[in-house]
Amino acid sequence: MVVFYKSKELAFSYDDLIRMLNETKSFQLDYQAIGFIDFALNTLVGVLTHQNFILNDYLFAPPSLSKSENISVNINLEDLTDLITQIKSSDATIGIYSSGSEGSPKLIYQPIARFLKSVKVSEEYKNTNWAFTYNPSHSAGIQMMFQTLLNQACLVALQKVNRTSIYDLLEKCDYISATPTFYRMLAPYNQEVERVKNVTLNGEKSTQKLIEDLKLVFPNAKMRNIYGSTEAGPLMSSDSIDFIVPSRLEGKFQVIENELHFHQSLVSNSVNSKEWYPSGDLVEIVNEHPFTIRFISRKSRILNVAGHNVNPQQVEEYILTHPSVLEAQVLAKEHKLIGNLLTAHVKLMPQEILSEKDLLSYLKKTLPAYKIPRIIKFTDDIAVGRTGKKSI
Amino acid sequence: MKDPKILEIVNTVLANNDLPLIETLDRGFDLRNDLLLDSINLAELTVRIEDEFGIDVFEDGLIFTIGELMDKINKA
Repeated sequence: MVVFYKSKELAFSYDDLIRMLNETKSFQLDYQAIGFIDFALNTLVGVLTHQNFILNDYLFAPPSLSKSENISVNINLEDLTDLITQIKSSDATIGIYSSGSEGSPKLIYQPIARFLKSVKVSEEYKNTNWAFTYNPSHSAGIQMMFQTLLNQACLVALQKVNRTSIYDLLEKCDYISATPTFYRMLAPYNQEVERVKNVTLNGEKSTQKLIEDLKLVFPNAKMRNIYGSTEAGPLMSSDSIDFIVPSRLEGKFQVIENELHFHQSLVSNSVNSKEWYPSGDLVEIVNEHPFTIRFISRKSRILNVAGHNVNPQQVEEYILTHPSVLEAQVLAKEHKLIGNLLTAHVKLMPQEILSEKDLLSYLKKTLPAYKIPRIIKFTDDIAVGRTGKKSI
Repeated sequence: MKDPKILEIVNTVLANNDLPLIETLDRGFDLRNDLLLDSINLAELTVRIEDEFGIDVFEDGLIFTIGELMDKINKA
């Protein structure tokens, strides 16, 4: 039995998938699924019947009544090869909510072809296990679903799973793609997972320290750091935090006031009408030839603190250099006197003890006063948003 | 009586910013000139006060002394 999706509770085969698709007689354009199987079925029906439809979050959204009418459908698949062939010839478009460069969610429609273009099909991927860490209703999640499906591989569900279970499930995986926030759940990095061959970091800025820590956990894996966006899809990869812009993207990137802009040819028409589309990502040019950039943070996160521009992501990264700190989130509290006061939520490494005073002393060694979070709360839980990224 | 807590919070802000601590709440102490609090320190103080007592001490305008701080908190 070739399995399409595996979680702690169930194993769902490709035979089950084909059978249930053939049994499906109705579809909704704006559907609220209950669980991944339900989500995958509705999504694939939409693709197979060439619909323009929306992906809704089922992982983090509260259950609600579906919002649209039932459309009658008739699916006739012979087998998995037939399913893959029909997916590849679909002209469906999928609507996905993205965080956007201004921070508020935008609905972006992408033709299915854009996702399929980024799928790498190879004999070596057939019947392999892919760790499924992303929210399926978001760009990286749906991309992962197609990557495994077109390769007749298996998704191993790791969403909303605790650290011990993550390691147990990873022992069964050959490939993993996840956000840096997800990978930090593996700390302390004192267990080895030998089977994994490829580790991909995606969706957020990575640090070199995290990449080095992951090499300890995955000693036999090749590391890839991916940069992409919901609007433009995956764009380039690197084995470090510096990205050499590939020749196929020459002339397609421009840095304007430290913000990376994409040429309109890279971006879906539904979100952009200008020649250069602001990505919302602040970058530093590391080298002109070859053109190499390093990501600093999302632009929307820049704050004014007592007349100074502060990038809270940089402050977070500095807090993370303290050996007792596992995770950090720097927040801004609006204040009429100084614009914003920085505060921080900090999660410590297991068994570590650190006081607010000691952490402040550490930060003062390097950070100027306006960059230091003034109120530090130690917590076991850093808020993570629906995309699996830390929420701002 | 909220004064002991107010003193504790003021000294927390002073200690966190490497400033001399105070032993009592002298109503005449000027927050900037005597306690040497700058704008960011004052903002921290007001946020800590608000977290503890639920009061925005700057709601009706700036305050300048320990006495004004205590009055805002104790009258609420």
